[in-house]
Amino acid sequence: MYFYGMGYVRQAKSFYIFYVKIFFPALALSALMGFIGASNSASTYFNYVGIAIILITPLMHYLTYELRSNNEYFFYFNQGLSKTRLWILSCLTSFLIGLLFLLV
Amino acid sequence: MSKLHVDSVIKNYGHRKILSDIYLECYQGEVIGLLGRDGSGKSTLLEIIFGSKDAESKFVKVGDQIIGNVCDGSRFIKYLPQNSFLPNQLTAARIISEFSDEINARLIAETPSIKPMLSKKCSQLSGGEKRLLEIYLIVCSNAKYVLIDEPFNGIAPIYKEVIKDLIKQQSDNKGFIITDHDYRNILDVSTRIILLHEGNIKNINQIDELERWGYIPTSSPSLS
Repeated sequence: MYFYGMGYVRQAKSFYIFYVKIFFPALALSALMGFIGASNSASTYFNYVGIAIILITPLMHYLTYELRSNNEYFFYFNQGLSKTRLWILSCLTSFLIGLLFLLV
Repeated sequence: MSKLHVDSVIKNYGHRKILSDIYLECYQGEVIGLLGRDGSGKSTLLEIIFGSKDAESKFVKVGDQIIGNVCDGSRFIKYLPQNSFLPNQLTAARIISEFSDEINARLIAETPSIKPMLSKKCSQLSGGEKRLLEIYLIVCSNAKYVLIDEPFNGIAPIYKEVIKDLIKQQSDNKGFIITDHDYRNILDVSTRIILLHEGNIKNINQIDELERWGYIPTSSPSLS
């Protein structure tokens, strides 16, 4: 039981490393798109950023891991995170973060 | 003791059959040297066993646990791919602590050849340093079986000896399947040699069998 518990903690930490690498560039790009899209109102700005995060992070995921650093997947495979699981977690996390911006 | 059981592995690339009904067993304490020409399917076989590559057919089991994909297998099997897999943005120390448990992390971090790398980001390490770090991470893991693809590639001769000693030392409680074109080092470290030839596994007992299958030229060192 202890072993399995530790496994999930390790996987969560690994996913954090995986996601941070794509999230901050995606956030910067989303913030820029927010400025361009909604320069007249603060609330619209957050809506734009939220939508941009939901759309841009998966794109960043694709560019970073599928095209540029495909071999890096093996770091996460060795931690028990499959490609499918990483894609699902990445899209889900981006959707939740984007939703937070939409609700502001 | 839980053995690694690999059976019925079939893999095609288009119309070309790469692996044709492969059967393989590996026990803890065993170091299997997997040899084969370029494009014979060595890396493909290791990836299929690990679970990161699909096959037309496969059956992989460690003890009673059937391994379908990396989610099932990573607790039992670790895999070192041919090319570097470390996240470049992290320091070596962070990578070690994230990848390994506390005991193994301490063991790796205190290794003289790894110590100077600890504070460096992975992107600052040379190809050989990265490879050495990766080998330590994979070999000094809690997995029962370790699959290693080209461990001696890009490694300085002095570290090749270190790697061989490490594998021999860790093979007390692990099983290894290792492939590399540096077949002399593979012969040194292996307890059993197999050759992948035209999609089939050939058990090799004598060096002249490698010659007969056209893997090496004549006048090569004898099997230990």
